[in-house]
Amino acid sequence: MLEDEILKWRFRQGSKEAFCRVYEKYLDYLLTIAAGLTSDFNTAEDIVHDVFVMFASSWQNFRQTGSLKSYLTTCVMNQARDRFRKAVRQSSDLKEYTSTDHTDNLDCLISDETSKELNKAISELPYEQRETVILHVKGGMKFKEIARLQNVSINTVQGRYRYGIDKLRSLLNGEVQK
Amino acid sequence: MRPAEEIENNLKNMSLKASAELRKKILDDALKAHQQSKTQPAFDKPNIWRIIMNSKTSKLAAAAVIAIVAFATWRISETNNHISSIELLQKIQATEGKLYAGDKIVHIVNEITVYKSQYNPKTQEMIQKMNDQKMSADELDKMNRELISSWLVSWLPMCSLQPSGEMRITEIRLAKDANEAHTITDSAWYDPKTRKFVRTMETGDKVIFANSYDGEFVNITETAADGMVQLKSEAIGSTFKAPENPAEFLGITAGVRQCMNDKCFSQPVQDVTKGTLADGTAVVIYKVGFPNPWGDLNTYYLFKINQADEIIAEIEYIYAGSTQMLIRRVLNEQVDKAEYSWNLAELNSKELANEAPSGVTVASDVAIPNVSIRHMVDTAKFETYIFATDPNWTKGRMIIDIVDTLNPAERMFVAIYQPKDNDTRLTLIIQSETHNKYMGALFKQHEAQGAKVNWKEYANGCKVFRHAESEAFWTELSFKNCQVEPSKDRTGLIVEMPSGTYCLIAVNGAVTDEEIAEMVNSLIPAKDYQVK
Repeated sequence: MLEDEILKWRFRQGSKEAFCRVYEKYLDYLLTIAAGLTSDFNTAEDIVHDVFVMFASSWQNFRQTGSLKSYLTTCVMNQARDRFRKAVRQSSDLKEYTSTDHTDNLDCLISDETSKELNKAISELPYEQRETVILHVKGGMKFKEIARLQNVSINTVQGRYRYGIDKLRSLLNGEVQK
Repeated sequence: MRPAEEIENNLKNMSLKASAELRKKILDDALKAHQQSKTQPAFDKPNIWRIIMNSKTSKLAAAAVIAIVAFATWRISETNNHISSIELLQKIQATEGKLYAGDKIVHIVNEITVYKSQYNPKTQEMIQKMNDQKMSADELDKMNRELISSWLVSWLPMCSLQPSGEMRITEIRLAKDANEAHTITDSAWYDPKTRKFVRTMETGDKVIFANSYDGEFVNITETAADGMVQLKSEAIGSTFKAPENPAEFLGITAGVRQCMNDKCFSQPVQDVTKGTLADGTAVVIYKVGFPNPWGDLNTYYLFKINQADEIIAEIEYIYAGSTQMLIRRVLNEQVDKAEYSWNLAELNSKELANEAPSGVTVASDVAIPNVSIRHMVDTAKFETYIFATDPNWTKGRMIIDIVDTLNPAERMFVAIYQPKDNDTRLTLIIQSETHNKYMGALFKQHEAQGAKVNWKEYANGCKVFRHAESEAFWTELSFKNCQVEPSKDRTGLIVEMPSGTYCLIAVNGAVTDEEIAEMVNSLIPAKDYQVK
């Protein structure tokens, strides 16, 4: 946390080194979050690319006082959500964005079977549940924070999380037909 | 059925690693965007410190920053994610103020331990080394960093009350030759009905500092250059008004008010943790510091608040991983009578330190606002300069006399020229002996390395050096310290005087070449101004 505060301070001064440190520190993490949200590695790559390009060019106006990690996670989440909505608009079939077909390019990057299984199961979750589970478990965000981002009540977020985890358990135990 | 915890754990452990190709592609694009956003590199906050430290001549301007930082000690600030420093300090002082109430006399005792100072002798040696030896660029860079970092060290200000009713800032420090820590007992008695008070600081059986108000006189000890302590009494001035909150100048929080008036730096509370003191008291520990220009937070305070009563229990000041000062609350009680008379009559010569203390000293007057030119001339041990004619965009001048942090026996002077109502160009002249030595040594080193310094010489023999990028940085800090929003087109000049000394001039706005020439040519030795 302390290092992030210093990085933010130096980044605001225009430090390229500070940006590079942020990049090195959070690239893999954000890529994992983006992949979890989209279930598609190519889309995740694009999202993370856009987020870092936007972040790099924003140093003069960067006034974020909260956690840097949360800020970047939120940027990824917003990008993923935009793409999801766009995909929904372009296709009446919601499965376009949630289909397990897209997980193929992700599968080759995940080495262990458990993670592959889990990744496929996550892609089966409704988007709101997936977002809640990913942000809470991988992003370390509190339900209150997620509720603010999703503009819903904390009870709704807790509900989405509970349903999401229950569905993952069912999927992973073969109780739900894909 | 797999438990939810297992799914959560698996999800937590799942991670992707970007390929080297992807890593490079995103970074290249992002850096390109970063570079493109720098449309105005000179004034739009460039990475000044990288430029300063990579450029031979621009390192000179790093010296300028020092002045600003030196009198920016103990800057705390606005907000962070969870708690702002300003809120913390307000809370600490408000809670402390409640202790000074009741029907009886309030007696508060703190113990202040001052540890062996690590920086002053070393930094003086560094400047000497810069003067004596030719250094490589790397050595000079390292030296600059160490010197500037050590300059950032600050002490918790100790406040006392003056006959005018204004606060006076003093500081406690070890003498240069002190080899071990010293403990000072800080006692205060306060009568809530009459607002009379006594404050004493004792080490061993010697009183090294005392301040009291007896209803008619303010009594205060003065420490002479030879370390002798004398008690002086002065009738209160017509403007005297006993402060509402004694916690502003008595006890553990004396000086916090000064911090609350200063919002220059947005330093957050960096960390909040729970802990236990040596006596088992459960405390919440707030870490408040000021990162140096390289982002290292090696100077900070730990405010330890008692969880049970929310009263501050300890303040610890840490520099470079070592505790420099620890203030510990020992006693809060209500008594019928103070141990000293309100006029400190008991403080006769045998109780006062009648010889230079070998260890700890109290440096009075860390900052004295609004001093005269005569005072500056008499106090400075170097030739000081002033404008013979104030710049035509200004309407008044104030000189502040500040302790030269790296060389406490010396003083630093900042002349502040207020702008006229239709102008925003606040103007500063900053001068100190350490600047003279440091800048002189820096120029010498650069010349030894074969670097050419582009001076512009003026009719009165003054020479001006400018470096746009670094001056944007140090002038920004300067104006923020004066509670003024720095303008984008601000100006900073490093001036070498005919006497071989240096002064820094900062103007909060654009100035034409003619205006610069007029300003620089107007600089005269301050002693001659008196003659006029």
